[in-house]
Parts: sequence; structure tokens; C-alpha cells
Amino acid sequence: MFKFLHHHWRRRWERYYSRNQWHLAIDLSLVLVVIVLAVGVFALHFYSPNLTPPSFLKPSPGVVLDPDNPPLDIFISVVDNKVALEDGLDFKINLHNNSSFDLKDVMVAISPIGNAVNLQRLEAEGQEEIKIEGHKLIFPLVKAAADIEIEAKAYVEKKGISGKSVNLQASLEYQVAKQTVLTRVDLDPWLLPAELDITSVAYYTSPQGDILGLGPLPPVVGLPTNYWVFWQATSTGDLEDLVVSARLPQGVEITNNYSLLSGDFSYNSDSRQVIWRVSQINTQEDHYHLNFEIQLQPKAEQAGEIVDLLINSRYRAVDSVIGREITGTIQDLNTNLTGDHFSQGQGIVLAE
Amino acid sequence: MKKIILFFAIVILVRPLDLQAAVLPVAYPRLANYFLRWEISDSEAVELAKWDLLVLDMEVQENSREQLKKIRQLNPEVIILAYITSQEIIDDIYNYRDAYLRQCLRENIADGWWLKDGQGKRISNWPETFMFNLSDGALLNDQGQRFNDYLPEFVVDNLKSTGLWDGVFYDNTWGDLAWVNNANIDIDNDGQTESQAEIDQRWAEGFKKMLAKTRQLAGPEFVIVGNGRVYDGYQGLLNGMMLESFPSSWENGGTWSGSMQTYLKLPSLNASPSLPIINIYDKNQTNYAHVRFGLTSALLGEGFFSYDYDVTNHGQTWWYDEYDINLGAAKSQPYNLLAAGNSTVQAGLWRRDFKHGLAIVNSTNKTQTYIFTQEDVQHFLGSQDSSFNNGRRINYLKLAPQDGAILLKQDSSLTNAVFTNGYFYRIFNFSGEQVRSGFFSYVSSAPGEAAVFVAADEAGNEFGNVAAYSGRATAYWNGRSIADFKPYDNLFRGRLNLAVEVNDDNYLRYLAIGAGAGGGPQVRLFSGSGRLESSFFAYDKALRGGVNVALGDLNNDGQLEIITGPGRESEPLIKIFSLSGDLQASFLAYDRKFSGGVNVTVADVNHDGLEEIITAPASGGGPHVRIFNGQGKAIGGFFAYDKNWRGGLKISSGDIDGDGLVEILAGLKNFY
Repeated sequence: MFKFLHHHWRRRWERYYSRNQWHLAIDLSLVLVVIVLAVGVFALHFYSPNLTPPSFLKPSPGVVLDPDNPPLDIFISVVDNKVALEDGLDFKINLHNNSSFDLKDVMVAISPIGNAVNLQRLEAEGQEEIKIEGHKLIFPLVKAAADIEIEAKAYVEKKGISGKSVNLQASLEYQVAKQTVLTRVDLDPWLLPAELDITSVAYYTSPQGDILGLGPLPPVVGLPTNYWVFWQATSTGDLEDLVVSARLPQGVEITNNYSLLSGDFSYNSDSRQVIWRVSQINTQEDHYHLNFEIQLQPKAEQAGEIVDLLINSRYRAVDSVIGREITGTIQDLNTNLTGDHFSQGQGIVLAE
Repeated sequence: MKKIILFFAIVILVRPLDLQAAVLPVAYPRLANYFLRWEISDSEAVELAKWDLLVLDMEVQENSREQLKKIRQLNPEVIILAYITSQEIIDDIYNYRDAYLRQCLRENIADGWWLKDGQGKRISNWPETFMFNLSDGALLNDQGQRFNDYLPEFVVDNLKSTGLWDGVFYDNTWGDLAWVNNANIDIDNDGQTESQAEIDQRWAEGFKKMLAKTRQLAGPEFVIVGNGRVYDGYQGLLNGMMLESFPSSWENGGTWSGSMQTYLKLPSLNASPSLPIINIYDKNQTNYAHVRFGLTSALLGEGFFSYDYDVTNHGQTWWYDEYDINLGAAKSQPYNLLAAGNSTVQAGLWRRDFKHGLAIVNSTNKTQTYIFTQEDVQHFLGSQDSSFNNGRRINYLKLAPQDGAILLKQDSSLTNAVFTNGYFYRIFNFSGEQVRSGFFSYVSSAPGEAAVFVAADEAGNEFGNVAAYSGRATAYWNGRSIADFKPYDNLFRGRLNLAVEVNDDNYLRYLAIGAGAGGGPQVRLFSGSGRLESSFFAYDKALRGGVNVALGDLNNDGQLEIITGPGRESEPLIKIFSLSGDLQASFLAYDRKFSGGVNVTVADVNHDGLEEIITAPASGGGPHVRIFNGQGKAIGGFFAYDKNWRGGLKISSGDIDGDGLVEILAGLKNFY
């Protein structure tokens, strides 16, 4: 050590100090500063004054916040994690005050994780008084050593059709000794029913401009006009046993032309129903298409009218994840061909 | 034994120039030309070679022999009949130039063979001609022959023996005679006029004897066709009749129904093959409705159709748009749309179905409308009567009286081209012109999005299909399963890409299979029965975009090559391999940065005798179809759909309408 210092001293003497005394003065000053700072830190470490804090900093008598062991525990349990969104998301909140003092205005704020859903409103009920302000549940008083349980329900709406689950979080917020305690808890996710989207569009002219239809457009009494109906199914989750059906009104008949990428297509001439069955729908696969041709032959009394092409259009399927049936209706189709970019609006039947 | 073999060898070797038995074309329409000029020019020979059946004057044999041979050279399947009048000859035939055969015929005519009246005068029924007596009432010549003996010998010795003809066309094969010369006929050469009944009877017996002798001498394969009012008693000896001036006033009441009844019954009466002919003449070459009326009437039966100027001038090569249509084989008997279930031939709206289309004729006297409820049909696109043959798809037809229509069926699936089941296809020619309305190609026998190939013969009859889907390939050929296998291991259940090679004799030769997306770029070549022939990786083994495949003979060396396009996540490098997997060439089909995958097909789409490689982006990119020659040089291209479309295309090729020209097929999964 001595040799090291000596060697260092000699080098600096030869290179700097012997040439200019100012170098020596600066170095000595710096060494002195370092020593002073080191001594200061050491002294502060052992400094323990017995000071009396001013009154505005004094905690309540007997109330001490232990940050590692906050006085209030929160437990949230999801009642049923397989639900339909419109039924609301049920969960229970348990608050347990471990401390010997009361806690006031304990607030539990509920918010979605991510941006898959919007939280619309909350409902809650329990034996204790509880207030709801927006997306916050407020417990005016949680007495010392008390257990509180409430049942709550969150209503959310989805943004778009992405996501198979809803994730919420609860932010517990209260004050102890005028300090805010904040705790966040993620709720178990709710599994959502698959969101099934059935598209049904009638075309005379395809979106790419191909003339798919036949016969006069607008339709003419006594003459046939053929249209193509496209059905397409997309789902946010796996589904089983999809059945899409619709009825052909009188004056509309099905031709032999159809094209199918999945499932089975049939026509029940007694009920005049077209039926599309797909045993398995996988999430967001672009594989579920049915196209079929229908022929309208308007009658004289339909002159001047827009005529139905497909009515009572509906679907049902089983959500294989949550084991629930999904049902719905689809927009019926008529000769006005809403959705046919090229031929829409030519639906009023002309007299012969 | 050697002597027997030698005998048969000599028989075979010294056999005269016999032609094969006439074979009827399978596809309709069947076209005949009643072309009675005595000479044929070179250009006429080329024109005439387009018909299926020709009735040519026998003098052509001597005056235009080379042209006659040229016709057969151009159309080996043509049936050529030698025209000869059966019962008369031009009186001053020796003054005619280029009438060698008629002069030969005339030379041996005995005086007792002329048909004479009760006053001993020769009878003429047509200007400048005199009639022969075909009955046994004619006198014998010094060789003990009558005319009904001589004429068959003349036909066989002077016409059939040349090997130029498939048969003979006897004009005026009348079954009665008393209507001629007001029945002033001495049929038995006794100087007296016989009763009408006796005249008719003896004439018919003699005529039948002539026909029987012709059949006896010429053999069963020699075609004998008659002309004139149909006489049932002759029909077993004939191969058909021409119904000239259809519907002629002399045939079965003079109505369309009467003529059609006769026309439709002929095949059941005639010797096989039956070749009835409907001939319509009209001085107006462009009376298209008249052409359609006659042609569609002929299409209700098994016969041929001919249209020309008039009875004094059968010598036109008028060609109509309808003649170019290949309707394929007949698929039904004719039926009356106005009287369902009633097969009685009467005026109506008659229809007959064919593989590629249908014929409808309105034989009523008012306009008829027919609605197609369960079928997709279209007018073909013609250049003559373009307001009628406008190429439009229709679901109803308004047909004027005495008019007809040939309509094409729109098949619900493509034939002789690989397609993705359920996709929408547009059909293009080499120039990128859409040659047919787009449609969904779908067969219910295979799952959606399977790669499917349906094989059909020239007549449109389907005889096989191949499907590849869910990691499995199946082939049915001629009604039986010939292959059912998993091209990759059992675990691969993804989509498959398919290329098929069918021999000229309709034998399923190869299946080239590539994995679809999710699989490696491994190409596997199988025989038609599913035996693995070769297997290789066309691109980096680690890729999982699959590989697209095509089969073709790019360099015309008789050896097939396998052409591959990469799947996604790879540069658009087209590779050409031998069947065993040796890389022969490669080129970029699109910009190097494009990584959406490339679908490929191979076909001679510009009809230059060499096959081209046609590519399309499999995903992403615009719908830009490109055509390359076998060396990878771009020689064409077009956008098959809207330029902004980014959904990828399936590409395929094949002669889907049987017109001999290969089309390019560009398929979409959906339109959005």
C-alpha cells in the first residue's frame, strides 16, 4: 500500500508538481474534501437526535401505518367466469380490517385491463353501507377488525370483436395516518361467449364487378331474376353445431347453384327453408362461406314494390368453451340489395 | 396351316382400298353439306373439310380427285358420300364436259331400261333428263341385266372401288311412282299403262332390289343414304335419308311435326350407322332464324344439318356461328316444354340437352317464353346475328315462332383443370380477355377448398376426378377408385396443392402434390394409382409456407417437368425440376421483395405449340397474372381482378369448353 502510494506520489511529482506547484495545491485540496465528506457520512450514520416533531406532522394517537403490513386486506372472487356480457360480471369483494382503528371512505375502483372493453356501470349490495360513484365503490366506514362482504356486478361492453375474455382490476384506496394506501388486485378473467358474426348479403353484381345475377334488373313481373346470396360466419371463439337458416318467400325459388367452403347446405322444400350447418367453427378462420343462387319471379300484385328475397334469417350455435347456445337473427334480404355496391337500389318491381 | 395363313395374308393385302366404317361424331351439332358441283377448288376443299358429312357429286372423283383427298387429309373423320341420281340421267350427257362418270353410266344403258309411257315415249320428270325404269319390268340387256342390277354394280365398280368414298347418296329414292307423268307409265314394257297401284308396287320392288344389291355388293360398312319422300320399305337397306327442303311439302303431311316424326323414327328403321340429314334451303344466306330453326330441329334427333341456296343450286360453303359450337354428346331425348310428359311429336317448344348446352326450337306459330329455373345457361357469343347470339347468360328465353336457339350450359364446375373447390373463377385467354362469365366452381363430392380435377373427354363426358384435401388424395377413374392415399405422413392434415397429368388416351399418369400453408416445401410425385415416384424439397426445408406445383413439358422434349412456386415467406422464385427432382432452371416471377407466395400452372396458352408458365400471387400483391416462356422470359400478363385486390389468386389452366384452346383460370376465395 505504502509502495503504491509512494510510487504514485513520485510519478505525479515528476510529471506535475515539480513543474508547477499549483498541481500540488489542487490535489491536496481535493483529498481534503474527500476526507471531510467521508467523515460527514460516517457521523450522520450514527447521529440519532431525540427531536419532537411539529404538531402538523404528528400521527393520530395509536394509529401507525406499517407499509409492509397495511391494515386492510381485500379479497375479490369472481362468481361465475363464463357469462354473457349483457348479464353483467358478478364478483364478491371481501374487506378485512386487521387494525385496531376504523378506516373511513375506503374506495374500490374497478377498471378494465387493456382496451378490449368499456366499463359501463357498477352495481353492489351488501349489509354494510356502500356508495357507488361512477366506477368506484365507496365504503364509508370499515370498522376496526371488521369483515365486510359485498356482491358486485360490473356491466361492460366490448370494443369490436376481439378477445375471448374480460379482465378487470380493482384499485383499493384509503388513508391511514393521513397517508394514502393504494393496492391493486387483478380479478380472475371472465371467459366470454364467442361472438359470432353472420353476414348475409344478396348480390346481382359481385363486389369485384362480376355479373352474378341473371334476368331483368329491376325485376319485372312474370320474368325471372336470379340473385346470389352470400353467407359468411366469423367467430371470436370456437363454436360447434352452427345452423344458419332462412325461409324463401313465395315467388322465390332456389336454383341448383351453390358453392360451399364448409359444412352442408340443404333446402327443405316443405318449409321452404335454406339451411347451412357447420359442425365446427374455429376462431377467426376465413373458411366459413356459403354462396347460393335464388330466383325471383314477381307476380303482378308485386309491381311497384320492393320484394323480400330471404326472410326469417336466423342462426344458432353452441359455444364449446362455455357450453352455452348462441342464437340470433340476421338481416332479411330484399330486392333493394343493400350491400351490392353496383346494383343496390334497383329493387322496385316493374310491371310487365 | 401355312397355306391358310398365306391365304388370309393375300386376302388382306389385295383387299381394295376399303375405308373404315363411317363413325358418327359424338359431339353435336352434326353438320352436312350437300355440295353438288362437279368440280371443287382448293379453297372449297379447305372449306368443305369443316363439315362432318359431305354429299359430293360423283364427278368430283374424276374432276377434283386431289381436292377430294385433301378434304380427307384435313378432316380424317369426315364422311363423304358420292351423289348419284338413282332414276334419271341428263339426256345429252355426252355434250357435257367433266361428266366422265355419267357418260360411263350412260354408255351401258340399254334401250329397255328407260321408263316409258303408254305411248312408248321416254318419261322426263326433271328438265333435260330422262328416267330409268328401276322395276323388274325393265327389259334385260344382252348380259341379262336390268337397270336395278346395273346401277349397284356401277356404284361399286366405279365409285366404291376408288376408296375415296364412304358411301353413296342415291337421290330420289322414291317409294312410289304413279305421281309422275300423271301415271301414264308403262312399268312392265308391255306397251300399256298399268294401274297406279301396280306402278307403285313394281317400282318399289325394283327399287328395293337395287338397294339390296348395292348393300350386297358394297357390304355393310358402305354407307347408303337416300333422298326424297321417306319410304319405310327401303329403310332397312339405307343408312339414312335426306329430308330436303325441310319441312318439305311432300313429307308426312307437309308439316314440321310430320317431317320431325319421320326424322326421329329413321334411326330405328335404318341400317347402322344411321345418318339422317335435314336440309334447308333458302336463297337468303343471312336468314339466321331459318338456320337456327333447321339446325335446332336437326339437333332433336341423331342426324345432320345442311343449309344451302335452293334445289337448283346446292353448292355453298355457308358457315354459321352455331356450327362452331361444341355441344358435346346428347344427354337427353327431345322433349316438349309445352306438353310435359307427352312425347308425341307435335308443334311445340322442343328441347334437347347436351353435355355443353341445349337446343330449343319453337315450332309453334307464336312467341314462346321459357324460364330456366334450375340451370344456368347462356347465349354463345356470335359475330353474325350478334343481337341474338350475344354471349349473355340468361334465365329465360323468348323465342319467336319458327326460330330456335343453341344455348350453352354453364357448368357448375371446371373440367380438365385443377381448381379449388368452391372458389370463384374468371376465365381468360392469353391476352387477358375474359372469355366467359365468372362463376363458382364447386363439386359436392369434395370438401370446400379441396384441390379438385375433373377429367372429361372431348364430348364432355366426365370419366374421372382427383381430389386432394386434409392431407389426403383420392382418384376415381372410369367409375372406380384407383387411388386413396396420404401424400405426406399421417400427421399432416393440411391443405394440398395439386397438379395432374392425363395421357392422350385418358389415362391418369401423374399426380404432383405440394403441401399447403403450414407444410414444408416438399414436392411428391405419384403415379395415377398413388405409387410414390419421387420426392424432393423445392425450397428451404425449414420454410412452412408449402409449395405450389404444376406439371408440363416446357421444352417439348416429350419429358414432363415439375414447376414449383414457393409458399409465403419466400422470394417469388419459380423453379423447374425434372420429375426426379433435379433442378433445371429458376427465375423470379415478381419483385424479389414479394414474399406472399406464388401459384403456378403450365399450359400452351398462346397456342404456339410450346407450354408456358403462368403465375399469380398466392397472397398479398395485386392480382397480377404473369405468363413466362419455358426459359423464364415474361411474354404476357394481366390483372385478373381489381388491381387493389390483395387476397391472392389461385391459378390454373385447361381447355374447359372443349374448343381446343386452353384458357387461364384465376380463382378467388371471396370478393372482400
